[in-house]
This record gives sequence, C-alpha cells and structure tokens, in this order.
Amino acid sequence: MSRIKNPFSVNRVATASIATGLALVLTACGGGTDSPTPNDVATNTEGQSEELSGEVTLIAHDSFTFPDELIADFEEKTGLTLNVTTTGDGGQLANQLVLTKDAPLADAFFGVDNSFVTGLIEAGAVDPYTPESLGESATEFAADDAGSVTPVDHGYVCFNADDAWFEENGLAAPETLDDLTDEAYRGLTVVMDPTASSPGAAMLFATVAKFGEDGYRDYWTKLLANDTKVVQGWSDAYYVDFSGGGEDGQYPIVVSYNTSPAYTVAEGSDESTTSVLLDTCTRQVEYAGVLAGAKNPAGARAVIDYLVSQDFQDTVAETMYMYPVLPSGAVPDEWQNWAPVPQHSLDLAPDQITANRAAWLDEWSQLAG
Amino acid sequence: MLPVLGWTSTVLIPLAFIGIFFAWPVVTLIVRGFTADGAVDLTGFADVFSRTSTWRVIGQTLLQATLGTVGAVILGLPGAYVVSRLRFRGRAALRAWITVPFVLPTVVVGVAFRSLLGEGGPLAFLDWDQTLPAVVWALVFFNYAVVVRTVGALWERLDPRPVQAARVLGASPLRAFVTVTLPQLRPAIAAAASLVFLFCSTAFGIVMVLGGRRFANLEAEIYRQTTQLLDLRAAAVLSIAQLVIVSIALYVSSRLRTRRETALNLAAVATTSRRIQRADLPAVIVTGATITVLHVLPLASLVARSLRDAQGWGFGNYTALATQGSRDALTSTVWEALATSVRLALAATVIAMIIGLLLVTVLSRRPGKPLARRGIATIDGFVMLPLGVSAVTVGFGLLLTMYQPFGWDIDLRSSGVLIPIAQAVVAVPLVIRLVLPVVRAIDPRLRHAAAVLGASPVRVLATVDWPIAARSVGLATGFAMAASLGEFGATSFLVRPDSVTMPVIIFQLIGRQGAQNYGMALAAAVVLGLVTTIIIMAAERLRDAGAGEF
Repeated sequence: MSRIKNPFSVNRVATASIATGLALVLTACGGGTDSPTPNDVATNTEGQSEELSGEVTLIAHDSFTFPDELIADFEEKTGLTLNVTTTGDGGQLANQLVLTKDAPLADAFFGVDNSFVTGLIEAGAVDPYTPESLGESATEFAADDAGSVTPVDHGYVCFNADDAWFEENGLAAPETLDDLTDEAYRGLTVVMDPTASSPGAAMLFATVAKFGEDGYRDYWTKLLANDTKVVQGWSDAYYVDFSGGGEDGQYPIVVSYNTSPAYTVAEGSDESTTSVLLDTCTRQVEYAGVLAGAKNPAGARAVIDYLVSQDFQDTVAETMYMYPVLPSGAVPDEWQNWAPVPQHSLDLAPDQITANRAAWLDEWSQLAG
Repeated sequence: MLPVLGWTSTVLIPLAFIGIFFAWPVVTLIVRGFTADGAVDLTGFADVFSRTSTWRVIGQTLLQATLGTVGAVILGLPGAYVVSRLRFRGRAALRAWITVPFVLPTVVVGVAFRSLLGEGGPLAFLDWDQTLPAVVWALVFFNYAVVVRTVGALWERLDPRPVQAARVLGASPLRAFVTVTLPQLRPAIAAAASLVFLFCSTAFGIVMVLGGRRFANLEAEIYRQTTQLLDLRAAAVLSIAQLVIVSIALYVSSRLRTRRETALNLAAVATTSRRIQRADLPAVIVTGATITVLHVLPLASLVARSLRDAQGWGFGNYTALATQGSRDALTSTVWEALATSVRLALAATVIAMIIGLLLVTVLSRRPGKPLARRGIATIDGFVMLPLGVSAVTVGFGLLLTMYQPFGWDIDLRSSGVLIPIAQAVVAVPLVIRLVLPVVRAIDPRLRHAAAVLGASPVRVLATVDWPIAARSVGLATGFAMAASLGEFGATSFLVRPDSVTMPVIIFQLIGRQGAQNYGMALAAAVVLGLVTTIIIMAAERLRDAGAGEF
C-alpha cells in the first residue's frame, strides 16, 4: 500500500531524527568509551555513552504492535535482546505501573495516555527521559516541562455523524457540542460511559475543556436529557448502536475517532458515508518512558529512541490507528482523504486531568445515575 | 488409610498452591488498601458504605446472582435429564455444544446479544436492551451447561430401579421424580447452584455490556475503582463485601449439600439411559425450547454475521484469520493465538486436574471425628473462593506478590508461568464440584471391603474410586480446558510475554476500526467455539477409553 508523508507536518526540524538508529551508532564516536564496536553504545540524557547489552523489556497495553521485522532491526542495531510484554488497556497499564513502582514490571513502558500520565510521573514511577532527537516539533505533545516521558503517537476522539442517515432524513448534521443538546437531535446520539471507556472519558474531559468545571455538568444534564444513549464501550457503541457502523444501528451520532470515516468508505466508492464533527474533537497522546528502578536503563532509553525513530514512526498509523508524533511519519492515504485533522481541539493539561479525574468521573456518575 | 505422610501431602500441596497463588495476593492487595502511610486506616468502610451506589451495586449483585442461579437450575434440570438419561443421535455433540458459551469472549457475546435486543434488532420489541432480563438471560446462557453437566454427571449413574419401584406402586412420574430422584440429586444440584452463583456474582464484561450503568455489579465496580481510579481503598472494601457474600453463599450451599449427602446406589451408565419415550416429551420440549432461545438465537446471529464481509456472504472473514489483520495490525495471526491458547489451556488443565483431584481425594472422605469433619468442610469452602473473588483483585494482588516471592531470584510476574497458574486456580473449583458429588456417592463399604481384602490405599483409589469417577474426571478435564481457553480476566491483568491468547486477540480486533477487523473478531469467536466443542467431545471420549465401566 502506498504511503504519503504526514500532511499536517508543521516543519522539518526533525530531519535529524530521521534515523535514530543511525544516531545510536554515531554517538559512539563522541563517547570515548573503550568499547570496540560502536553498535554497543548509546547516549543517555547526559550525553554520556554507556554499554548496551543484555535484555531489555518493554511493557505496553493490549493494542500495541511492535512489528517483528522492527524488533529484529532494533536488536541488530543495538545488540540488545528485546522482550515485548503486554497487559490490559491503557488505564490498567498506568495503574499497574504505579502499583509496582518499587519493583517495576519492565525497563520501559509504552501506551499511557495524557489522561493518566501525570499520575505515573507524580508517583515517581518514571525515570525522566526524552530523546534529544525528538526535536522541537514534539514540544506541543510534551506531558510536562521536564520531559519526563516521551510522546510517541496521538489521535483525536470526536463525535462522528452518519451522513447518509442525515441526508435520507432531510436533516442537517450537527456541528458543535451544543448542537447535540438541540431538540432537533433528540434521541440521535450514543456516547460511552466515561467511567468504563477511555474514549468515553476523553470526551468527558473535552466537555470540561469546552464548558469549564462549572459548565460541563449542565452540558451533560442537557445532553442526557436529550435522550442520549450511554453504553459501556466503543465497539458496542459503534457496531451496535451507531447507524453508520454497518450493523443496522439506530443512532446517527456517536463518539468515535477522527479517523473513523476512513473505514466507512464503501468498496469502489470515493466517498465516506460518515464524517467527523471537527469542532468536537479532543486529543489523546500516548507516551513511552523509562521506568524508575529499571534493570537496564540504558537499554530502556535505546527502546524509547527507537520508538520515535523514522522506521518505527512509519508503522504507527497503520498498526495502532494513531498519528505518529514525528511530522515525517507516514499515514495512510485514506486518512488524508476522509479523516481530516481538526484545526483546534478541546484539550486539558495532563496534570489538570490527573488532579480532577476522580472527582469529574464521580460527578458525572451522579448526574448520569 | 494412606500413611500419614501421604495424607499430609495430599492436603498440603493443593492448599499451599491456592494459598500462594490466590489467598496471599488477595490478602496483600486488601491490606494495601487499608494502609495509608504505614498506618492502618479503616475509614474506607464508612466512606464506601455511605455511598448509595455501593448498596445499589451490592443489591444488584445479589439479585442477579440469585435470578441467574434459579433460572439456570430450573431450566438445567430437564436438560440434565435429557443429556444423561436419554439416548439419541447427536447427544455427545449436544453435550459439548452447550458448553460453548463458557468460552466465548464476553465482548463478542455482548455485541451478539445487543444486536438481537437493541433498537433495530429482531428482538427489539421486547425492549430488553440494558435491562435486568437481558442480564439474567445472558447469565443463564453462560451457566446453563454448568447445571446440565454437574447434575447430569450424577444423574446418569443413578440406579433406575427405585424410580421404577415407585412407578409400579402407583406414583405419577412427577411424584416419583420429586420423592425419589430429586433427593438423590440434591448434592449435585447444590454443587451446581453454588458454582453458578459464584460465576454470576463475579460476571463482569457481560453484565457491563448488557446491563449498562444501572445494573452494574460489584465486579464491575471493583474494576472501575481499581483500573480507572486506582482507588485501592474502595476496591479493598468492595472485595471484602464480595468475599462476605460469597462465603455466605458457600455456607448455605454446603448445608444443603451435606445434610442429604449419602452413599447412593450407583449404576453403570450403560444401564441407565434409554431411548426417548412419550413420557420424556415434556423434558425434551423444555430442553429444546431452552436451547433454541438461549443458545441458538444469539449464536446463530453471531455465526451468520461472521459469514458476511464487504463482498457479501462467504468465508472472507475466516480466510483473513491467517493474516495479521488489515494492515498487519496484529502481532500474530489468529491461528497463532489459537495455538498459544491451547498450549496455555493444556498447562492450566494439567495443573487444575492434579490439584483438583488431590482435593477430591481429601474432601470425599468422611472421617468420624467432628474436628476432622469440620476441617474438611472448611477446606471445601476455601478452595471455592477463587471463583467468587474479582479477577482484578487477584490480578493486581499477583503483581504485588510475585516479584521474587520467598526471596527467589526470579520475577514470576513477567515470566508467563503465572497465566496457566491463574487459570488453574479458577478451574480447580469446577473440577471439584464436577467430580466430588459422584465420588461422595460411592458407598464407603466398597472401599472398606477392598481394604479388608488387603488392597493398599492407592489400590483402593485405582480399583474402587477411579472406575466410578472416570467419566466425571473426563468431563471435568473438558470443562477445565474450556474455562481456561475462554479466560480473559486474569490473563488480561497479568503480564503476557509476547504471546496473545484467543480472547485477547478477539478483544483487540473488535476494539479496532474497520469492518474487516469486526468480521474477523466474530469469525475468531466462532472458531474458538468450534475448537472448544471438539476438545470437550475428545475429553469425554478419553474417559470411555481410559476406564471401563464397572
């Protein structure tokens, strides 16, 4: 399948990072170790070189894919042996890492998102590290000023509409969050329970960003009063209830991703039957990091370096359905055509989410009953 | 009697196993929940129990588990009769097939049920979406086989002559059943009911998907508190509430079981089953209707959907199983995941059978001393607990305890061996409840006679217990395999070294965008169901080959 370069690339500052694998090799020259082969060496944050050897373990959530050929490539470039282990979803992963911080489960982690990451940092579970190669283009994704963790990919949770349904019913599709509380759209929306689903929680945080800590409860009261259906998970909402999911659902508006319309293009058609409400999007960023107390911290840093290398970043969109954090990372053609990136998104700072997450979820639970 | 050493290890090995891999992690997690900055803090109790939601959740757990158990027992009894006392073509396949729901990932079953019940679905007129009836239907769907097979295992061995005598003396079929058969089946019914109650009260995904927020149970609440909020204090309090409910249920069930549990006149299976007669019609009709509504409807909609892809009807979703998904989004193919699942399930089954049968040997004895009797009753209750405690609690507890346990220089958490062990811990209660009713019904005089004639304890087991228990051991093996093949909870909370199991890969597929992934998820679920049917049929055949009838 053909690939195109990321269309929303801001600049090309990151050209230096095009091959972090290469950087791993080159830094050996300035390191001044007595290691005979440059392949065994990498830089750490202080710019000193150190031995790379032995095994390194990466822990990630269930949806993570590290393609086999890239594992081989990583091992060849670094001389390390890489074990990839997986566990639960992103929320489970974050909480397991906090719980086991005195005896970490791995050397490095991937897949804690912006709504959980501050908790991980504050618990002291992370050994701060951001590869220098990442460059300035990634600062907009940073979780904190200290660069404690490294952003690897990002995506958007947005309301989606079934255009075909709206056309058939002679109704204009909604555009904003406020539209969804309008009488005209009564009983047309399905959302996910934020206490059970991570895109569901992301949408709750988006409404806090939009309406403020005081206003979001009113918004949800109105939204739920407008006969909005609440279900427990994304697959449930999209495949059972959403009319555009191809499975005879009855609700033409659903919480999903900005890339979803790229997957509802009928065979032989050049148009998607669904679209994104671009004013209702919120950004999710997934981070990787070195775990405090890692047995092989140098190896862990090499893994992080590799996750933001061009080779790995080129696979992120295809395997994880997220945008690579490198502007030069490849994304599928269909996304270009049918999954426009929102110009602005409804975001909160990660530390704000961590500080209030329990309270907001609790308040939401009370008003949803 | 076995030499003291033999008995001691027969008791201690399984207890140590369950103690280390279940009790220790759970206690550790609960203790962690009640310790704040090194001091014990019990304010969590007042806090959690003052929330109205807590009481709603506890009430729902009790209500759903009770309704699910009653439903499964009432519908399961005719089913047990049909598959254990009647002979007809396809009986073996039917027996295996009703076990399929046991292994189906709840996320897929949830979608299948909701496609039937939700607005636009063929059963939308019932208006059951996100209601209690939907939850109970699903609970009975999952647990019907537990009743049918547990009760059936004893029923097929009951000597038909007492019933025939009652009939000759003028009792109606119903009266003969109520006065003769039912009392004899009581231990097995109580065993099945306690299993179903535990399964229902810890059911997780299906209750969440079908019940929504209003019908959430304790298990779902523990999941939210632990994985979404990392509120270990609330999770610990709720885990204790769960333990209390489960302990009460186990106590009630053991009272029901042991009061009537006596040696029965067990017969060879070949002599107890017969062809279908006119008098059997009510049971046959009830069973047929139950299976149609309970199993055929949701499973047929699942199978039908799995045979549809972008090109229309066909096997496209199945041929895709050999790939790594659209865009190679999976780390392995579904077939590789199936191999991993079968491998893990085999390991888990071996462990569960060893531990389970050791316990059956202990629990089937009836010592004269009251203290020993009470000891046996306590062990019986203790080994059932893993079924009644949240997979989240066990999973997080294992993460806390299995880093270099006992000072060994090995991190068990990420070694991968914990996965079959955790699955075995959950399968052991199943093994016990399936085999024990039959073994307990063996007349102890048979053993005494053998011992008097000079047979060693091992020889008594081999010549008296084994021939009678072999069939239910085969059945238990099949069930243990099935439980492990479909296990998602513990597997998803533990760390898996680059091996994806079937339930996990199905979960990955259904959570990803793109119709092909959805179709593949359903096809993979159908494959998992088929493989389970085959494994259970094979396990039941083994028992016939392994031990002749007596």
